Amino acid sequence: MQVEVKLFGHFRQHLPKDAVNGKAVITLPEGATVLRLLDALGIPFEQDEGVWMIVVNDEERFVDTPLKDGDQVSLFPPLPGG
Amino acid sequence: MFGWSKEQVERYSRHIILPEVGGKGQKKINAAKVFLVGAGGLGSPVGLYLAAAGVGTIGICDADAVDLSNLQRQILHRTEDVSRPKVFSAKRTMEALNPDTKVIPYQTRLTSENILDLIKDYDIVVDGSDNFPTRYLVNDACVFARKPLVSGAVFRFDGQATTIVPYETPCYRCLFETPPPPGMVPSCQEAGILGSVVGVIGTIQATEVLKLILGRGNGLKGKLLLFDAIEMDFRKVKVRRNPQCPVCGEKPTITELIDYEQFCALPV
Repeated sequence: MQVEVKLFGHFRQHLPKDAVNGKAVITLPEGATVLRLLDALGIPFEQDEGVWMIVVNDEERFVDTPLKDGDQVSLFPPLPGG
Repeated sequence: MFGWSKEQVERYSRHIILPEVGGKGQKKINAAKVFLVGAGGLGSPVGLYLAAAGVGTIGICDADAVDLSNLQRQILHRTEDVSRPKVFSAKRTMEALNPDTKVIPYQTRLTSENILDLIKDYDIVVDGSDNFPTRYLVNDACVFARKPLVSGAVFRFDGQATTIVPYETPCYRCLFETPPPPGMVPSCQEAGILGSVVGVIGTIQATEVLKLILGRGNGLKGKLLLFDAIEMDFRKVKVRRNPQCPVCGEKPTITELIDYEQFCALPV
């Protein structure tokens, strides 16, 4: 299955090189969770635990949320600046 | 009418003519007291629009002096203000825009010791801070004091904003429970910020403040606005209160204010 990923803030550095307009399409095994997606992107989960927000199709979700084909997944860290 | 001078009726006429504002609403704006955390990128548009709108009292807190590198986005300050305290140029600019607005400058850093006392006389707090220790301190203090908080933040081309009404909407810690470890997230000083992005987010914060004063609309209560300037993409994500939130949850574990800066400054 394929999911579309959009990353914000300093997470943008984890986008694959072929990302277009800040978005990338990632292929995952059927039933993969958000955690599996983080692993595919190379984002260390433990380090960042509790300090970001996971959004799937405009709804707040969690690392153990199972994904399905065509889902749009966004990862938002808190932003520091003012 | 409403005890205004002819000039004031004219100054606020474009508000007064709005059915959602009217004379009564403008009176509420004129009586409101708003505390701005930071006289920087976000604090500038927030301060300018709130002063222009006639907010009666604006407290503005910032310990820093104006740096030349601030002027690309911090439109409260001018070139001649470089090296002077930001709160003084902020006061001058806002009061010049609208003499009806009284601006109270606080040239100090917010700490667990002073924040509750500083915000106690204000109706609404606006977070335009540039660091995580202050952001979490402001959130926790607003939850403790049950003050509405309009939060905004920026990074490079990205922005976020939300309106927090303690115990009614999620607080900042419901969204992002703990500050990122020091060094994990680069600051704007290290990473850069497109100047106009603070104008977009700050203007949204000012709009949220005015609507809170007027009691109009839900806006960003329980919603996190996410702005991507590169794609000019605005998204609103519904967010929920976290029953396990350490500050506003069912069994809070944070019952005193924390100075993360001091904690982070400890040798590793």
